[in-house]
Amino acid sequence: MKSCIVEQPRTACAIGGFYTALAIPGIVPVLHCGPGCVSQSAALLASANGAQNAHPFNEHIIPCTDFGEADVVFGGGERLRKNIENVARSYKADMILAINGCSAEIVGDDNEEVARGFSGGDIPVLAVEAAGFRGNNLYGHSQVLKAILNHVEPTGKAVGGQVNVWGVAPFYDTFWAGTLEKIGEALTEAGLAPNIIYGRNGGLDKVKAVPSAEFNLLLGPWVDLDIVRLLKERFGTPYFHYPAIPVGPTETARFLRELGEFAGLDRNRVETRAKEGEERYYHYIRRSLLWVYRCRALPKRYYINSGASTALSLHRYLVNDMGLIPCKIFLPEDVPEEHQERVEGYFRDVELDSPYDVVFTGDGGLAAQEIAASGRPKWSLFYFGSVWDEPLSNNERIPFLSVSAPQGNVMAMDKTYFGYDGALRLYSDYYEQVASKGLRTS
Amino acid sequence: MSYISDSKTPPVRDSRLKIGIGFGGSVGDLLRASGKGRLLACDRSFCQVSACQLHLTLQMVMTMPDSVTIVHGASGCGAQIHTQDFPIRSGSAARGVKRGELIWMSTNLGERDVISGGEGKLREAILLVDREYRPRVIFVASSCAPNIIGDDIDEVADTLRGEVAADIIPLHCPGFKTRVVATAYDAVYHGLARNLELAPRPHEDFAPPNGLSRDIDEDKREYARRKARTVNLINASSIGAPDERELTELLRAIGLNVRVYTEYVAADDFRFLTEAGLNVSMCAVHDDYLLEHIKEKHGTPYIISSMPLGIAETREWLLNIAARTGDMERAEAVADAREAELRRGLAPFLPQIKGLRVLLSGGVIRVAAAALALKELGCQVVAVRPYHYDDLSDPIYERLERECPGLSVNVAPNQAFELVNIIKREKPDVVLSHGGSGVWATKAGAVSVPLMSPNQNYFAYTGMYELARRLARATQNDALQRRVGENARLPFKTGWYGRDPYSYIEQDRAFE
Ligand code: SF4
Ligand code: SF4
Repeated sequence: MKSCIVEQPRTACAIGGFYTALAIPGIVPVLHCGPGCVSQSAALLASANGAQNAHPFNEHIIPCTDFGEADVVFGGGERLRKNIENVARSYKADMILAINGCSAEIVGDDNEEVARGFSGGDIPVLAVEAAGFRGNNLYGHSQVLKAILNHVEPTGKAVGGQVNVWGVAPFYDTFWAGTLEKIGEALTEAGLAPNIIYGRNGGLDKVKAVPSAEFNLLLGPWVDLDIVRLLKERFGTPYFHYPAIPVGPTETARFLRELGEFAGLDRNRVETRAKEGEERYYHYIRRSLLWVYRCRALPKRYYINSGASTALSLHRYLVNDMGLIPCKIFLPEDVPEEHQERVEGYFRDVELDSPYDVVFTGDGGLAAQEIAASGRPKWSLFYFGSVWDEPLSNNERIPFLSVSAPQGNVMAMDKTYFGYDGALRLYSDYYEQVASKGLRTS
Repeated sequence: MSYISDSKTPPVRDSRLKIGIGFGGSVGDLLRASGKGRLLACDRSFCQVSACQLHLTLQMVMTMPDSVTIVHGASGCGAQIHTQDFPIRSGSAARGVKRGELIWMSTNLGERDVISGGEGKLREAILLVDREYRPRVIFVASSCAPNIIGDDIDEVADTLRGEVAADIIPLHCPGFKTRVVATAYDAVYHGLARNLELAPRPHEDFAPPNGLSRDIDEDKREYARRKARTVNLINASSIGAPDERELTELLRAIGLNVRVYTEYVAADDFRFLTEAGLNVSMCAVHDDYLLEHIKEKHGTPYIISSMPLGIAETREWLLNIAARTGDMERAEAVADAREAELRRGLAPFLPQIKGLRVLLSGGVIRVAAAALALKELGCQVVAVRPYHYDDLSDPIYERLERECPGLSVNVAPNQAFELVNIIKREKPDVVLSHGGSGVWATKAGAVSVPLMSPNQNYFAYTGMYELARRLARATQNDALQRRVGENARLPFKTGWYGRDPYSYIEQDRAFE
């Protein structure tokens, strides 16, 4: 269900799914939408979200029909076709996606027919529907992935140990690039052969290899569940669903063990890895305890206002390892109804029995309203959100971390909170905030 | 005729002016094609993302303190606002304007609304905003979807006027309606002028003559004198507080009262907009729509002449105003003194920037004015790339033709592929650019300097000094550009760089 009226949305519209295409080197999205639609999504998903831009096909060179008045009257299919033709000629493109936005969908331009016109050519051209009125950027993400994966041909046989990684929405998950790199390393260490289609080492060869995986790994509460199901249906590949990108020693060890069990990994190797990670993690924690204990009042309770995947990862770490207490968790990303019960269950699956609400919404402004009105002493709280939540935290001097799109003036680079090392980043970000809000005596 | 008084929706510049968004050639040919009104026929057979008027519209209106904006459309339109929060907060602070958090809503149109109309949702949103936030003004900006399905936002606003405390200002700014983003100025002014009071209220704002006064005629004369000494400067989001300050000081130096409109101005202060003897635009491409309306309705004359950037343009700008207000002598003295001071200040930088080959990319007036300024600094301008072209820009491009005959001009809303091609060909030392195009300069190994920035000086004498200093600083150490350039991976096939950068512009129609 789409929320009726939303304040300061934390998601972009479906057209923002073009970022998923741009995260796969070699794919060029050709947009059939209004001239301003791209910059709308670019602001929320990239430039104001970790200082990111796409590369090498950066936002400014994305071909777009800049849907105009004449296209409303005469249809813009022909201009879309011309644009695609010229992209094939001048861009280093290995695949082209013809993506329809709102205007094109409302007037009924048939991008599938345009795409079909290119069948048999050197470069595959696929049609994607991503109208903003049908859903947010996660809907667009799914539409893009489905189009690409439906195009992939079966490879016949599985490659031993190959595992495809899903669940991370590129760009929208601000730390996607660093997180995926580290997940890849962790899987390699565990003796598997990760296949990740996005980012520095991704590409169409990785996409083509998807069907030969031994299994698909889904890391996250709901995004891409449709994708691993699709892959199971199309190629018969089983999937292992771990609901959270693991952060911190408790979750990471649990993840490694369950993964080991599923994939039949050597148990000793898994245990050794977990032990090493834990040892290193606590080494650094111990080295900072004195500083941390000088924090005058350690905030104990937290609010999260973020996408479900980030929220769940943080939440499990904060409860299980940092010993904090959740007040309320807001998920302003329009989680589809069919997933809500399951997702809520994942949030309850922590080592703490205390009452708190998980709120499914499309309205990013709810959290701030509630915190302002909560009457709790503000110094006892910690607030995780996006740049829109920052003013409240500044005014009320609530320690705050930007963790969700749009993150604001944050440079993501290769940052990640994944695993043992990532948890150290989060731990230090957390206490630096506490100190910077004046809650520490030297 | 005044569109503002006569029609609900503003016209688009595509029909109101002679515009163009695609051209590549000499400035002389550009002027000829524009003169024939043939520019718009030069379309592209291939285009990249550009920008839409909704973006600029929001950027402008959200500067109004005590306002809340509702974007009427699907939820994606408006997502840009995330990048606007900081500039608007700092822009407000720089002007001493108090402003809380930016508050905005989206009507979040869904599949069902697209079929059955979104007016009900808009109604609900206006009521909600009025109830929850009690703003002085509610802006309703309508995007593509509701315009294609035919929602009538004025109708919704009209039926709610008695019910809500705020003034509702409808803004018609769907991206698909126009090829030029600058249409946003008209969309905003249309909304403001139709829905705000532009003249003071008797008894509240002033005491009307009541016959008891000693000398009514003397009062009237005094009022007229004061009004005649007051000048409104019309600003825009591309013009920062430091520039406003510089121009204000210049005009104060010749004895004028200065007020700045229309951004960062509270709704109630618009009642004094017409209490001035002269309206002065800061950029020729912005304000004709509003200033013509004020002239027609309230009799205030106006000046629109390019942009006070560079020594000659600044002098002309200042003298133009002084000629109207009768302050010629003082203005000339001020200009002489400031120019002499500037030349002393520039001297140390000139050796380093002399002869730099520069390419400019950005707003139509700004690239031309900055090109002339750079020529004054001894740089060599290799090309200018205005986002669009229209006949409001003719005077400054005529000057450009006189000063830099044969200069190449590429009219292009972004279209980075043309830019990259030109950079590869011309190999400029420096690219003065707006927005993200600086990235392409860096990737091609050229130094890039922002063509504009709301936090820095660009206008008049301080601006010229700062520009020179910035150029000198930027070219002092180009390690980053050089090394990034060496490690860049460009997205186009090599074949593209060998082809005519304007291959996709259908130019043969320009002179038909
Ligand atoms: S739909 Fe129209 S108004 Fe909205 S961002 Fe796109 S072009 Fe602009
Ligand atoms: S919601 Fe539709 S019209 Fe608006 S930016 Fe997204 S695709 Fe464009």
